[in-house]
Amino acid sequence: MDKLEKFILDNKRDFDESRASEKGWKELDEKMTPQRENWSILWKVAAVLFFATTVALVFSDVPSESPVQITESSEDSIEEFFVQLIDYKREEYLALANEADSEELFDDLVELDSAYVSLKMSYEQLESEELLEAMLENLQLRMYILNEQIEMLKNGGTSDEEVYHSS
Amino acid sequence: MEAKAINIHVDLIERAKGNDREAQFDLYRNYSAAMYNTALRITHNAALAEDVLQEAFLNAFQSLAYYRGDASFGSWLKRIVINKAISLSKKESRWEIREDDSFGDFEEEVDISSGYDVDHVKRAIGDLPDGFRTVLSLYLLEGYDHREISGILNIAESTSKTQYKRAKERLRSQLAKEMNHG
Repeated sequence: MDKLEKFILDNKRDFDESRASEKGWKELDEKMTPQRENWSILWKVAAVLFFATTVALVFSDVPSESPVQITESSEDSIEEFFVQLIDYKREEYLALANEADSEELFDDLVELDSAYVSLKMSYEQLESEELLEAMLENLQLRMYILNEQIEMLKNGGTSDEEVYHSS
Repeated sequence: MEAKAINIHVDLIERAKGNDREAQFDLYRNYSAAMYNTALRITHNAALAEDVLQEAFLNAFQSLAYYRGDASFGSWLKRIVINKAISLSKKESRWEIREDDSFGDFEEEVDISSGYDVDHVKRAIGDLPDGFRTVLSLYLLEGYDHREISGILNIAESTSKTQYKRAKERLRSQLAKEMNHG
């Protein structure tokens, strides 16, 4: 260990002296209440859709020209499979929808995406089965939302009819 | 039986898992200062470090049900803070590791250890490029080894070692310069 390293280690405590502003907890407290409600609604929706949608969406709704293929059964390849499928569905939706509708829908998808990133981060730390399930449900929910919107546009409706906003 | 990390806040953690807001506040009070400093060292930006702190605690409280106590709560939380700090900094395009970060000649180590002071060293660490600052902070101040750092930053272990060595050289040279110019 050289002198600089030793100096820093000997004075480690003094390197932790910066303080966050006082409003930190208050803002966090405010954020936590609605956040929890959103999540619980989200998980309820996901749970209801889980069985009803998985098989149908994943295996029968993929057009034959879809580039998506399952090659392995590892967690990563399942994730990759869904992500490709979501991208594919996204493109399909974009081809049908107008800009304003797309923006609204994609805002929601981005929220789900960031929830997914949080789940994945925790999963990498903890490797818990429940987290993995929640991750899968998150991916399935995004698929479901996209599919519903695409179906509606194909049937001449508009996405303002709010299939998934109705709650 | 699985080895569990020793937690000094077992009771608080259990209560926080049950969404006991008071327990969550106590955890926040106990850990926020250290976590803020960790975030600040990576982001080098006070406002961003505060965002990191909030999001990390939010994330931690939401995932607390899945925390099984295999690592201490502090180190579990710290990993969330570090991951969040890196991802938010990258999103703001403020942060990158440049493999070829070099800075020309630096002076041989001058014995100025007696003259080091914390504020100088802190400022000089803050002025380091992102990759240097982060690797040096993770290694020296957060106590990770290069294997762990390579995992956290998704870089090769050898890159972590090189970045650390260069970071130290740059820091030393910067401090020597400051000393020479009073």
